[in-house]
Amino acid sequence: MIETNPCRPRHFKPGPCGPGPQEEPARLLLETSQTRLIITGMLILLAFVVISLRLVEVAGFKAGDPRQARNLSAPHVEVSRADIRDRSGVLLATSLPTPSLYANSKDVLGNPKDPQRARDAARKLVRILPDLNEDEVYAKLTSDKSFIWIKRRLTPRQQDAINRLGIPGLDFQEEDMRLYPQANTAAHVVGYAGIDNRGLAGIERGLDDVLRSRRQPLDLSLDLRIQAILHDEIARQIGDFKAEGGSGIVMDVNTGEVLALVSLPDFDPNDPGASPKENLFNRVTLGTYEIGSVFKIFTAAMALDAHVVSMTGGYDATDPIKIGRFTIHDDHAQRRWLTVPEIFMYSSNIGAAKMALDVGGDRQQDFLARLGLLKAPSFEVPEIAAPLVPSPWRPINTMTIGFGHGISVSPLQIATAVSAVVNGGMLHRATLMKLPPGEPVAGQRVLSNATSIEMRKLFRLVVEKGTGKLAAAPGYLVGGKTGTAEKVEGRRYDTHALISSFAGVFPINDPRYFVMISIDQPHGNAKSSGFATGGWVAAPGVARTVERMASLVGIQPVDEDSPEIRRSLMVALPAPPGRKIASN
Amino acid sequence: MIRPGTIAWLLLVFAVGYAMFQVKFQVMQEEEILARLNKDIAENRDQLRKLDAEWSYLSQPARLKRLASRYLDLSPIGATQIVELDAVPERGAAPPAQPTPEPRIVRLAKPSRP
Repeated sequence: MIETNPCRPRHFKPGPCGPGPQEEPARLLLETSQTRLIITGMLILLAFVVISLRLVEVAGFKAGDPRQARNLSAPHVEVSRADIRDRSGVLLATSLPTPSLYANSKDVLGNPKDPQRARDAARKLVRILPDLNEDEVYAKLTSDKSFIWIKRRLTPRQQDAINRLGIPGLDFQEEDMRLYPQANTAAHVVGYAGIDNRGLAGIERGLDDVLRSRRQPLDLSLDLRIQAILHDEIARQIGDFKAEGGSGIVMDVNTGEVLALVSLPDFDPNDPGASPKENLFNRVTLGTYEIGSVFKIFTAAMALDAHVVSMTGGYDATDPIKIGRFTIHDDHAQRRWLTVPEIFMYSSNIGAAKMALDVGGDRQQDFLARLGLLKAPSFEVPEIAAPLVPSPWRPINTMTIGFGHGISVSPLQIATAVSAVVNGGMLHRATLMKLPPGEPVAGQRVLSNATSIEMRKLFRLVVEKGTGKLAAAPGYLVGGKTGTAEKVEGRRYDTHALISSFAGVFPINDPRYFVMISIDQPHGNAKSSGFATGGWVAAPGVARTVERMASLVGIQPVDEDSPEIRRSLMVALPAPPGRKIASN
Repeated sequence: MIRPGTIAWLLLVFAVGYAMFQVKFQVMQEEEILARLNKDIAENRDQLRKLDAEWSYLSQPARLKRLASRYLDLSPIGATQIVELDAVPERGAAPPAQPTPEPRIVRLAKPSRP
C-alpha cells in the first residue's frame, strides 16, 4: 500500500520550487545579490563615514569660524574732507551735511492754483529766515518750477522751524558743506574751500589732497587762543593808528611751529565772496616788504659771527654817508662813534651800513641765503612769495640791505630767520603742522651759539634802553628790534607811508617764542606824540600779546632785576656821551 | 513595535531641530538690535560732529571775551599776580603771637546785576 502511495518520498519529484535540476543557477543568483548588497552597504557606510568625519571636523575643529554678521561695526560718518583742528583740538574747519531748502512751486500753489497760499508761505518763511526778501520768495514760490532753491545752508533750528510750518511743496536736500566755526580768526591760515569741496586758499588748498584722502582730523601747529590774542592786538593797533592793515606772527623759536598767523583786514571763510578781494591777501606769507631796521638783526649777527667786529668794537656814525645820489642818515642820530650794541639800540643806519660793508657783499649774500632770506620758503599754504633781491648786488645794496632797504622779504621769512638767530643758531623750517612734542626737530646750523647769546643781549638792550621800550612786558623779558620802513611807491620811497614793525622774542634769556607785529601805514596820534614808528605802533601790541599769551603757554614771570638775569644779559656800554671816547 | 532606541533618537532629532531654530531666531533678533544700535551710533556720531562744530562756534575766543567783559569782572592775569609756591610763606612760619587771620572770601565776580 505504501508502495502505491504516489506521494511517498521515494518517488518524490521535486517541483519547480524546490531544489532540483535548477539548484545551481539559484545559488548563483543568491550569491550575486549578496555581493551587491555588501557593495551597496559598503558604499553607504563609506558615505556615512565621510559625513561623520565632516561632522566631527565642522563641530570640533571649525568652531572658530562662525557666520559673520553683515554690519558688525557701526558705519563711520562719511566725510568728503577731513576736519582741520588747532593744536589743542579746537575745530577750525569741518564738513557737515547741511540741509538746503527748495520748493516745488506747483505743490505750494496747490490745485487749483491759489496765489494767496504762496503769499502766506512767503510771509511765514521770511519770519524764520529774516535775510530773505519776501517779494523774492513769493516770486520763487509762484514761478511754476518744480525745483527752485529758496535758501542754501540752513541751521538745524531753522530747518525745524520750517518743518513746523507744515507748508506743502517745501523740502530739504542735504549737501556736504564746509563750515568754519572760528570764522575770521584764522581765516588766512585755514583758507577756504569752494562749493565743489575743492580747496581754494590756505591750508585747504595747500593740503587739498591730504584733506580729501584722510578721515582723521588734521592738527595744525596753530594755538587758537594765541591766534585770537594776536588778532585782537593787531586790530587794536590798526584802529588806534588809523592804519590800512597789519600782520603778525607767533613762532616757536625752537621748532619753527607757527602758533599764530594774522593778516588784517581779513575775511570770513564761510563767505569769502562777501569781502573785498584784497582782504584775501595774506600779508604774512604773500606780502614782501622792505622791513627796515629789523634787518639790522641779520647784519649784526653776520658781523659778530664772522668776527668782523666784536661786541666792544664799533663804527663812526658822526656823519651821514653819501654815495652817489643816496644819503644814508640816522633817525635817532647820536653824531658820534658808536659800539655795536649802541648801533643796535639806537638803530643807527650809518653804523649798520658800515658794518655790512665791512663784512662784504659776498659774505652777506651767503649769510642771508643760509637764513633762507633770498629764496621763497617752503610752507604749507600755497600763498608764498619769493623775496625781491637786488641783482647785481652792488656795494650800495650791501649797505642799504644792512639796514633793511633794497630787499623785500615776507614776515614769515623774518620769523624763521630771527628764530634761528636767537635759538642758539639752528634754522628750523617754518611749519603749520603740529609736531610731536618733545621730539628733536631737524635743523641746520647757521651761526654759532656764542653769536646767538650775544644777539640775545642786543635784543634785550633795545627793549631796556633803546627804541623798543614800549615792547617791555614786565616779568617776561622781551627782547627785540624795531623797524620802520618807508613804503615803496613805484620807484621811490613814500615818506608818509610807513610800515612799522616790531620783532620780539621772549623770554630772551632762554628764548621760547618769536612775536612780530607789522602795521601798514599807521598815522601818529596824540598818545604816540605824533610818531608812527615801529617802537610806538607795533611794540605796544607785542608787549600786550606777550603779557596775554605767556600764562597760556606756561611761562613763569621772573624778576627782571634779579642779579642772575642782569648778569646773563649784561652788555658793556661805553660811558654816557659827553665824555671823550677812545676809539679802538 | 518601536524600540526605545528609536524613540531616543527621534526625541534627540526633535530637540536638536528645536534648538537650532531657537538659535536662528535669536540671532535674527540680535542682528536686528545690532542694526538699530549701529544706526543710533551713526546718528550720534553725526550729531557729535554737529555739536563739535557748534561748540567751536560758541567758544570763539572773541565771543568769550565779549561775554566775559559783559558779565564778569575779570581781566587778563598780570605778571605780578603770579608767584612761585616757594615764595608763599608757610602757615607755620608766622610767629605764633599773631593769630592767623580769618579767611576772607574773595569775590571774583560781582553778584548778579540788573
